[in-house]
Amino acid sequence: MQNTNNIIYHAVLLTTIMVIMAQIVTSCASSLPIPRQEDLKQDRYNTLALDELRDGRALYVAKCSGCHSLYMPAQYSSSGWDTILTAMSPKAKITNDEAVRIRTYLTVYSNNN
Amino acid sequence: MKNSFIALLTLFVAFFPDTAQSNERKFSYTYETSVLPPGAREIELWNTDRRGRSYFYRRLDQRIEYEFGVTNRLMSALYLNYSWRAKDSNDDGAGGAKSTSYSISISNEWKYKLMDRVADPFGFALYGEWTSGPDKNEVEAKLLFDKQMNNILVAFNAVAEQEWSYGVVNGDTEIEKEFITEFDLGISYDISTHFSAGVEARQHSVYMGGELKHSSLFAGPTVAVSTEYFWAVLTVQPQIKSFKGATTQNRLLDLGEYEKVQTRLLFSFHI
Repeated sequence: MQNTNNIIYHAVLLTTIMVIMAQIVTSCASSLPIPRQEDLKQDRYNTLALDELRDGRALYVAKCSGCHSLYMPAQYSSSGWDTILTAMSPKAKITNDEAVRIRTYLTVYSNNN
Repeated sequence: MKNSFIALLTLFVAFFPDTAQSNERKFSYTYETSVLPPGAREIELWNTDRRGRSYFYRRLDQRIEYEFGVTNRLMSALYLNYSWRAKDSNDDGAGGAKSTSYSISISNEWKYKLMDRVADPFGFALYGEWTSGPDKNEVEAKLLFDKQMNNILVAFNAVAEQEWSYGVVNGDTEIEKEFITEFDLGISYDISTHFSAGVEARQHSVYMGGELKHSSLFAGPTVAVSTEYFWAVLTVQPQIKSFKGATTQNRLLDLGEYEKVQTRLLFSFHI
């Protein structure tokens, strides 16, 4: 009986914590923008392919999230991202080709738009 | 002495700015889901001071960790663990003599990230660790969750651990088995790019023979500092409430199994 009570107590505690966490996450979650076709409708982006942006997002997550939390693209302007990428690329061992794709993704969703 | 050591390490890493790559932490008890990039390496020094039982008890747990990234989602680490204890030999009450003991062990952890805390609705990772020493073996599994919301980081861990301790009683080898569960919750606010502050709570429970023997809640402040070259986290966790096994007269705390206060300092630099 004592064991059953203990198990119930721990299950209730865990569930309560998980519910609180889930509420926090669902109410405040702001995920990194996922590229959509309509994002490319602006004239200056109509030469870009959706796959390029998706590639850039995947590279941004893979190369940058290991060392620090990712920043939202809209936190900086495109020139701000240029400066950051130039400084960070050697440290994160990002190749030139990868940097171009990451920069493209971050620019499209930067606060210039 | 410790300050001098940290100052020396800081000077040491300051001479190697081009290799900066680190996996900074905001909490010292609660794990986060991020993993080191492939090829990146890091040294972490752990110090946990534990003191204040119903009898004289002081303990210092130290770990030296070598972390390395394997893939974009997988990392591993090797630990050398060292624990020094000084306590009253009569742990049922006062009146014994001071006895000291040491133990040493090695550990290996693996962490696999499935979801990112910014790119996905929440971060999620699986964690496994084994420990082996002359008098103790442990296997530990954790489910790690976290979410970065602007300047706020929330992290939650669910932990299950099986422990086998080896001793000798009247000439016979005795194996003591313990099953441990732990729930960790941390909330941290980024004050600036380099500083964050928050709170960490931990509920630790010990089962023996399928029966819950001890369970206590700890909670306290945590502060973290990170630079391009190193990061450090300090957490002070007093025991708040015992749910099982309370020893104090007001039945509030368990000072037989746990301490009044635990203080943990993590210091890390990339190599």
